[in-house]
This record gives sequence, structure tokens and C-alpha cells, in this order.
Amino acid sequence: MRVKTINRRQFLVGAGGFTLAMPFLGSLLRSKAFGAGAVARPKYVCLSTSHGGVWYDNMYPRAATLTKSYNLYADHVVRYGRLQVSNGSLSPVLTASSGDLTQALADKMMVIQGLDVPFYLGHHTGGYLGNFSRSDQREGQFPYVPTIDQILAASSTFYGPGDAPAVPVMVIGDGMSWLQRANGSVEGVPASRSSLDLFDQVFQPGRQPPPPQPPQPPPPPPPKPDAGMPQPPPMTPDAGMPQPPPVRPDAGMPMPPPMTPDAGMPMPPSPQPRTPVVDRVLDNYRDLVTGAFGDARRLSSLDKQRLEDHMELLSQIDTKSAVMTKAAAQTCGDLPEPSDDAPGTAPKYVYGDANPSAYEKWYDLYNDVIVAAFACGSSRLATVASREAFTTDPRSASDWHQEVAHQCQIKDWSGSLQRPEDVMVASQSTFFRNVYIDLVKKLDGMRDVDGSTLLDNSLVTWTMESGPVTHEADSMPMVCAGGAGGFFNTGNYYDLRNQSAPFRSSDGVPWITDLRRPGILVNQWLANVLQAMGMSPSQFVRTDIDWAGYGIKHVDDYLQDSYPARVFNDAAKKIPLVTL
Amino acid sequence: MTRSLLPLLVTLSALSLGACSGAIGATTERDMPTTTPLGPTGVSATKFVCDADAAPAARAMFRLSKRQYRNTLHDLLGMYLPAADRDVVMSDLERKIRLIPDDATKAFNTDTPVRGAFFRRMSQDVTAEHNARYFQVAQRAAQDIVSDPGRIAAVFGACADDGDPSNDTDCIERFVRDFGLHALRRPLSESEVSFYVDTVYADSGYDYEANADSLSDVLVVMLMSPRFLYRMEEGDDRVGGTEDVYRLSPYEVAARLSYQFWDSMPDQALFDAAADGSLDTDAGYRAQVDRVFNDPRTAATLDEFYSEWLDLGNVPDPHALARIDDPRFDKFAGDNLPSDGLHDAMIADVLDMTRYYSESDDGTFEDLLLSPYSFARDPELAKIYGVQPWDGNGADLQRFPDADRVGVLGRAALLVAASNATHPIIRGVRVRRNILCDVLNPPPANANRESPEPTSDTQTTRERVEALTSAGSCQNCHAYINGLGFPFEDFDALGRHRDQEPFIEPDGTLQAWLPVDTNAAPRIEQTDSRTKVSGAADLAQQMLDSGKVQACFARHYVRFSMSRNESTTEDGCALESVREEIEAGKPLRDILKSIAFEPHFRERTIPASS
Repeated sequence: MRVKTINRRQFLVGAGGFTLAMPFLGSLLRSKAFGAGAVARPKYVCLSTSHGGVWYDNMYPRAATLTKSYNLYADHVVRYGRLQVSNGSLSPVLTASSGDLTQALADKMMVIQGLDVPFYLGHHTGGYLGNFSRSDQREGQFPYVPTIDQILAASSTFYGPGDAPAVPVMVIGDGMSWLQRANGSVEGVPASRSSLDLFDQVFQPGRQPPPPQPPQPPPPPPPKPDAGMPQPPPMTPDAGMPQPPPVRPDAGMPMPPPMTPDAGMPMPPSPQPRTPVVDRVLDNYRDLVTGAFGDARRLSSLDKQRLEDHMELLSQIDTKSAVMTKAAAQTCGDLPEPSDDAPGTAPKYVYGDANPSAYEKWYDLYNDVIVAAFACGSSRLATVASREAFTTDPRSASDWHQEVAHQCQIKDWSGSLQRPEDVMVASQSTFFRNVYIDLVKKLDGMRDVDGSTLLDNSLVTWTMESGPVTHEADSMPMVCAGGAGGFFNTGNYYDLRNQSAPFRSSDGVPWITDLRRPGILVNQWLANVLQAMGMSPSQFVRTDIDWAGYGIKHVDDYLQDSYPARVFNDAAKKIPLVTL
Repeated sequence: MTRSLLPLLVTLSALSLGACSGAIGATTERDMPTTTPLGPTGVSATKFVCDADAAPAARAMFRLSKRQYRNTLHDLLGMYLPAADRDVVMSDLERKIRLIPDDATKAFNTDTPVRGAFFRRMSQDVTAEHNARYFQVAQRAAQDIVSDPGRIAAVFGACADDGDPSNDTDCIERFVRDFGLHALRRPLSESEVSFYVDTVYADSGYDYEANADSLSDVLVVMLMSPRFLYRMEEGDDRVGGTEDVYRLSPYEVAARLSYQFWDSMPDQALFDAAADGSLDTDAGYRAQVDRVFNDPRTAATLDEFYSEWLDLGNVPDPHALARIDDPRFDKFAGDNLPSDGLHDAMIADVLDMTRYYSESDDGTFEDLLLSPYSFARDPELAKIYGVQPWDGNGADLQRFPDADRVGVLGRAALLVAASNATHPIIRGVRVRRNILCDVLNPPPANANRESPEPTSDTQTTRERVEALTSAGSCQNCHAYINGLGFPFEDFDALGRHRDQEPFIEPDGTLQAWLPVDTNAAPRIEQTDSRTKVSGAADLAQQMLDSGKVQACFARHYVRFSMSRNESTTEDGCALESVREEIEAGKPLRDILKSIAFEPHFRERTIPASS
């Protein structure tokens, strides 16, 4: 595959068998860091699909590919082996066209089995990224915790002083992102309702980018502190904080020439800084409330309360966002808007629709925005949640949840319609092929600032609501692409289950199949993602409950034997073998 | 059995119990004893008490509904831009406007139960999402204008783009006064003009780009002003004999009229009438009410009223089943297999009817309940009714062939179910709540909204419903629901008239024809379990005779007009006035217009303590 460089007029069209609705114009080139030996920053996308329960041999590559073993603990041997693509397929679910899912791409991927939530989770919308309490089985049992995407967004390590994310986290689809407010409450983050709107938030098209800034003089030395005034402690870098891992440039990849300013071009004078218009709007409200205009003489107390409430909400408009959006525009220029929109929430796939491809198109348009934002540095985080079935099965028009998802484990199916397990596999595979691989391919088709591909510096994960057994949370599927700039050991299928450990179902009896075995905690995986993005454990572990791990710490009684204390003690450590 | 399958079986088991298994009793837990399904506060009155001394209810200023916001932007831009260009800008803005949270169609956290429909314009929630979207729309509107020299000239005046910086201050000041008058719906005070000119505009230099930003900021701040987003009313003179009731200023009256009938800002004629004082005179006001009511925009607003009163937003789409090749539905539909357009045609039929009787000189409320005419312009729907399509001409109305099909309740939109089986419960609930204004408890959590299909070829849908709802506490509510749904059983799930009901197997095999029974005890008055009706037309007539339906309509129209839940104390005069006019058989158009002559329409209570 030819990796495209960002040229003065670049259109992301066709090279990898996909087409983007969004043209990337030459303004992309104005990225200051591009080609100048800059350090690429890690990026993270988490995709999820509802239900799951696709069963083991449908989800994972053949066991025969697990040719190697590794002692995770003395009594916990895990197996792994190289991901091997056969005709575009790694497993029945992980199947795409042979032109898309190539061995080269598989070498940038990982499939992990044996990441567990050690308690009954049921249906949830927060567990994909750590807020396990947002579940129909666990609601209210544990306090909500913010999901890792929001932890990253709030971290000064992930988005550092040099970053200007117009949209810190792009929340797409049905939403699985949970944000912690300043008062400690944790709230679900509404998903975008229009890909064009998200694009606008990222790039604010039509707005003229500000003129180039002249070189800034060094900042003046800080004034001497007033001896009488207590000063905050000086900010010092966290000595224990690891820097984002270096990316692995492809030595054989030609690098574009560095951008240099045109020496002959006179620099315009610096424009007079303007007061953010949001502040002017707030001024207007304040003046009305206080009667400064002299005519609000008879606002009732109810009116004033209403105005003050409104003003409070108005102040929540991130005044920085307008500034940041301009910064983003400065990075990527004045990109033209995409021609198509993905409106509303994810469309429901209705059997008999004349144009079922419109459903995939909806995600396709959002994928474009993610790639554009990553390419421009306008955002480096995204979540994409799908709660709809990708299928032409008639049951998608009625009660998919009951009629298909809940019946996937009926192996001796005798109904007149297609076997539910097969319908589920086809549905999940369609998402993998048309949404996940689409995004991965697009990211792999774009250069990052260091010359490697965006995918190389990203981690793109896909997981499901349940493990291979519907409702159950052991062996939550984890399909990964991109090594987060060299943090992960890609190209392998990892089975982290402990084949010699017991596993019991929630009713206290051994599970009927030997396929269910305990692995390690999903918490540890999420902690690894946080570290891959540059955070240190000290920045995310739970000190309030005395646990050196991220998220919710709990094990159901019936699983105590399956998850010894060590899996909790190690929950913030890098996973050997899987990480480099 | 595995644990994984347990939830499924439990759920299926619960659903198999049918539509009723919840604890049903009070109209609301707060205001009703649990042993009485419909009590003093649950039952709608048939008359209201007018206390002429009652002051208008004190309420916070109203946020524009989403529809009002959209219309206001449209009309404001239309005052400056040519229509075609306005439409280009609005088309661009629509991408953002549609992301503003939709106004709720249900009441939340209300102390007093809403008897029937909750209108969107009553939804007064304001969230951070609202503000973020308003801000985006304002920014985009400003950007659309200042990025185009032609629009700059049209909106700000030619002086804004003539290359002469010497007239800029006068130019922007003229713009602020003129645009501000229209956007903020009353003349700006001098201090407010100064704010926009000196603080917002003159914040940067006059090079073109900065100037564009300055112009943009003025527009953004105006479009984000509370005077734009809300209907701010500060009143004029105090009403004699009151402490805190004020007559609205002429500009505020203009806005009340325009938002009542147009869901939009005043037009230039209203602004002029406010400015020259004519709106303050009886003759001038009456002339403006007549003009505003006769404007085509009023019909669109009344469409909104009728649509929400009759819950047309929840009409099932019969095409949904047609497209999945369900053999049973296909057999049931026969030659009337629904097309993609039938759903919209059903709604249009209702709104054509309500428009017809609301606009014509002699249309009455009784016509809404008893009209025997079809208004179906769509051939597919006309075929369902068994009539020729209507050509829109009042002289060419087609009479329904079946005598039991009358009024709005006989329209296909209010009969259709996305099934081959009717849904007498939903039909009954709609009549009880929206036509009679009685309060019902919410359905139990496990209520199944799907049609209760018969389970054998000897059972009708009615018999199935009776079997499902006859046990235990179900009757606490269903005694007041089923009897209002069964009279419509001679209309099938597509709204076709029928004498018999087919029983069709899932594979499409027709097994039996069973007779339908439309006799019922509707309990129009809750204590009356003896009066019977023979069918839908008889039910409509008896509801009219009861007086409840007239009072219910009065509630709905006053509620819609005031954009809030009515109070029988403070709004008693308006309620009784509308009810009496209906009772007297006055033309519907006069009744709908007369709300503007209610004293409270031009008054506002502003508590003295504030």
C-alpha cells in the first residue's frame, strides 16, 4: 500500500479502497510541526458494539495459532501467537475483504482474549471504558467513575500545554463516555448528533484562520513574589511522569520536506486581541439583570432567576473552545466542509430498507471526521458506540434483543429463521468490516507529523458489551489496531486466560464448558491504555479506596477463587508480553 | 437452564401477561386516594368559574420554543435579505437549529397533572445544550452574513461596505437601532445602543477583517440576547385596582399576538402599529388581530395546536410492517398494502379537516367531532375510506359511506396501528385523556404497546383485550379505558370500516371471520356505568352531550395560548369564555381568535416584591 503524504492539495480518496467525503486541502500542510522532526502524540479511539455473545470460535482466531506460551505468574500460563490472515479473515467475526484485512495490517493489530470484569455486569453503557457501575445489574452499587477517555482528556499529560484540542473527546454513536464534574459527580457525555456539527466544532469552517504570528519574545521573568502574600508552590514537572513513548518512524519511508516560512513575506501586524464574544454575551445578560440598560425595571424575581440560570448555563460554554477552534484552524487551515452529514443518532437498521448501505455510511462519515481531527491535532480521542444491529435479518425490525441476542447460545436452534448465533456473527462482522476496518485503513493511509502513519501512533480498540457468552463479562473481546507509537506488541493474538484455574458461573456451579477460564482484569487493560497515552499510574489509580488500580474494584463472591489478590495488586502494571 | 437465559424468560413471562399487571389506582399518587381510579381531581370539569378579579398567573418569562426560534430567525432575516437569499442562509442554519434540543411533549415534575396534551411551546427547560446550540446558530448566522458583501450591505446598510471609514460609527449605530428593534422586539434604550456600538462593535480596529469580526460580534450578541431568546415582558401601566398587574406595552402586545398565532416575531405592520400607538386603541387592536389571524402563518400554528392535541406525532407508520414482508400483515392489508406515503397522508387528512373547520365562516367545534366528510386528498387513503380523493374544494367534500365514521376520531390517523390487529386500549386512552381531559395513571412498566392480537380463531381482539384486562386491579383503570376504545372496533388497524374481524395465522392463512362488537359502556362520566353507546358516532354524540369534551377543548386551547398548564382559578374566565362560545355553536375561527380579546392576554402579573 502506498502511504500518502500530505500534499498541498490532498484528497483522501480511493488509495485503500475507500472513499472519503471530506477533501483535505493544502491548508493541512500549514501544520507547523509537520516534517520538522516533531514528536507525534498518541491517539486513542474506542469502538464498541452492543450485546456481543458471539461465542468463542466465532470471535477469536483459531487456537492453533497460539503457538507460544508465557508464564504470566507461576501458575498462570498464557498463550499467544502471530495473527495470521487467511483470505481477509482472522476469525468468522474478524473478516473483511482480502484487500483490506491484509497480513501487513494484521501485523499492526492485536486480538486479546482473557480480559475480564470479575462480576456479573449484564447490560451496560459505561463498562467499555471502565464505568462498570453504569449497568442494569450494578446501578447504584458502586459510585460512577469517569471513563478513561475523559481521564485522558482532563490530563495535562495527554493534552499538554502545546495542545489545542477543539474537541477533547469526540463522542459518537450512542455514547459510552462518562465525565467527572468539578463537584465530583459523574455524568454521561451526550454523543454528537451530526457529523457535520462535529466537523464544525473541530474546524469551524469558513472562519478565516488568523494570520501567522510573528516570533514571540521570550516571556519576561516572573515578578518577585510579594513577601507578604503566600504563593502557590512552583510548578515542577512530575519526575515520575513518563513522557509519551517515542514513535517508531519507518526508516524506509520518505519524509516530506520540512515547512519553512517564506523569508520574503512581510508579516502583518499583530491584530488587536478581541474580547471573546461569549464574554460580550454574558455582559449583555448581566446588564439586563442589573438594569444597567435602564429599562429592565420590572423584571420579576422569576424573570431574574430565569436570567441568572440562563447566564450560569451560558457560562458553561467553553470560552476557550472558540479560541481553541481558531488554533485548530491555524493547524489545519480552512478545510472545506464535508458534503454529507450523518445526522441524529445512529440510524436503526430496518429490514427491507432500500438502501442498507446508508447505515454504514453514517459511521463512515464520522470516521472521516476522526481521521481529520487526528491528522490536524484538533482532537486525539474518540469513542464510537453502536447499539444497533448490522443485519438484514427480519428480527432487526422487531425485538432484536430478545429474539437474537438472548438466543445466541442456543446451539440446537430449530426455528424457521436463521440461527441467532449466525445472525449475531454476521452483524458483528459487518461492523468490523465496514466501521472498524474502515477507520483503521483510513488512519493507516495518513502520515503523522513524524512520517509514520496515524495508525502507528494510535490505538484503535473494538470491544463488545458482553464476552463470548451473552451477558457475561469474562473474555471481553479486545480487538486492537495501532501500537500507540510502539507501546504495544502488535501482530499477535493473546489468550490471557489461565487454563488451570477454576471458573464458576453466577449460580455457583462450574460452567458447563471448559472455554470459560479466568484471565486478568479489564481494569489492567484500561490502565495500560492510559499508560500508552502517556499517563503514569500515580495519575489515575484509586487512592480513595486504597487500590493501586483504575476504576471499580470488586469481585463477586462466586468468583473469588478465580481472581486471586494478585490480579488486583497488579492492576496498574504494564501487561507483560502485550506491551513492549 | 443457564443464567444467561433467565432474563429473557422472565421478560417473556411478564409480557405474556398482557397489557396490564401494574399497580393502578390513583390519577396521581399525590392527589388521588389509591382506591379511586378517577376522583375529584382526576375528572375534568364541564364548566369553569370566572372570577373577574383574578390576576393572571405570575410566571417567569417564556423561552421561545424551537419552532418559534426557527420562525423568528426566518422572519428576522427576511426583513433584510431577499427571500431567495434568506432561504439559502436558513438552509445553512437549519443544520444547527435542528441540533437544539427538541421541546418536550410530556410534562415533567409538574405539581398539577396536565389533563391531556402537553404542548411543545409549554416546554421551558433550558439546558447547557440549548445555549451551546443557540451560540452556534448565532455564530453561523453572523458568519453567513459578514462573509458576503451583498448581505453586509443588505443587513448593515451600504455604508458598511463602502470603503469610507468616516461614516462607520453612524452606520453601525443606525444598524443597531434598526436591527435591534426587530431582533429584540422593541426599541433599544440609549444605554443599550451604546453597549452594542461602543462596547461590542468598537472593540477592534477598522481594517476589513477586523471590521467583519466586529459586525459579526454585534449580530452574535443580539441573537444571544435574552430579549431575542425569551419573551421578556416588563409591562407598561399598572392595571387599575391591582398592585402588581400591568398592561403590556404595545411592543409586547405585538409580540404576544405574533407568537400566539404565528409562532414568530411581529411583522413590520405590527411594529408600526406599536410605534404609532394604534395597537393601543380598540379599533387598531381589533384590526391587527383580524389581520394576524387571517395571515397564512396562523393556519400553520393551528396545525401545531391540533397536531399536538391529537398526538399526531405518535401516529404509527403502517408502512413499517408492509416493508418487512410479514405474511399475516400482507394478507390483512390485501389491496391496501400501505405505501411509504400513507402515514403522512393520514396526518394531512386530519389537518386538512381541522383547517377547513377552523378557517371557514361556519365551521364549528361540533364539526370536529361529528363531520361525516373525508378530507383525504391522497388516493391511497381515499381508497381506505371508500371515497374519491378530495380536490381541496369545499363544495366537493366526499361523505363517508359508513355512518359510524365521524369527526377527528374517525380518521385513519387516529385508528391506525402498526399491526394487523387494532389497539382498543390506545384508542381508549387517547379519548379519555385528550378528548375528555380525565387524568389516568401512567401505564404499568411492563405494559405492551403492541396490539393485543387474538390467540385463537375463536377470539376477537376485543375479547383478547377483555381477557387481558379483566383480572384484579387492571379494572381500576381499564373500566375507564376499554369502553372508549371498543366503539371503534368496526374500524380495523388500517382505519378501514369492517363488520367482521379476520383471524390470520402467522403464515398468512385466513382462518376465520369473526363478528365485531362496538357496543360499550364508555363511562364518559366516571360514575355512569350504565349508559351504553352503539358505536363511534354514538360515542362522539354522547361526549358532546356531556359537555366534557367542550370544556376539555377549552382547556387545551387556553393551555396552548398561554404556553403553560391552565389554572382553573386564574384562567377561569378565559376557560369559561371559550367553553361558552363552543357551547353556543359559534364559528370555530371566531373562538380561536377570541383568545386575543381575553383581558389577561394583554396583561402580566409582576409581583410587587420584585
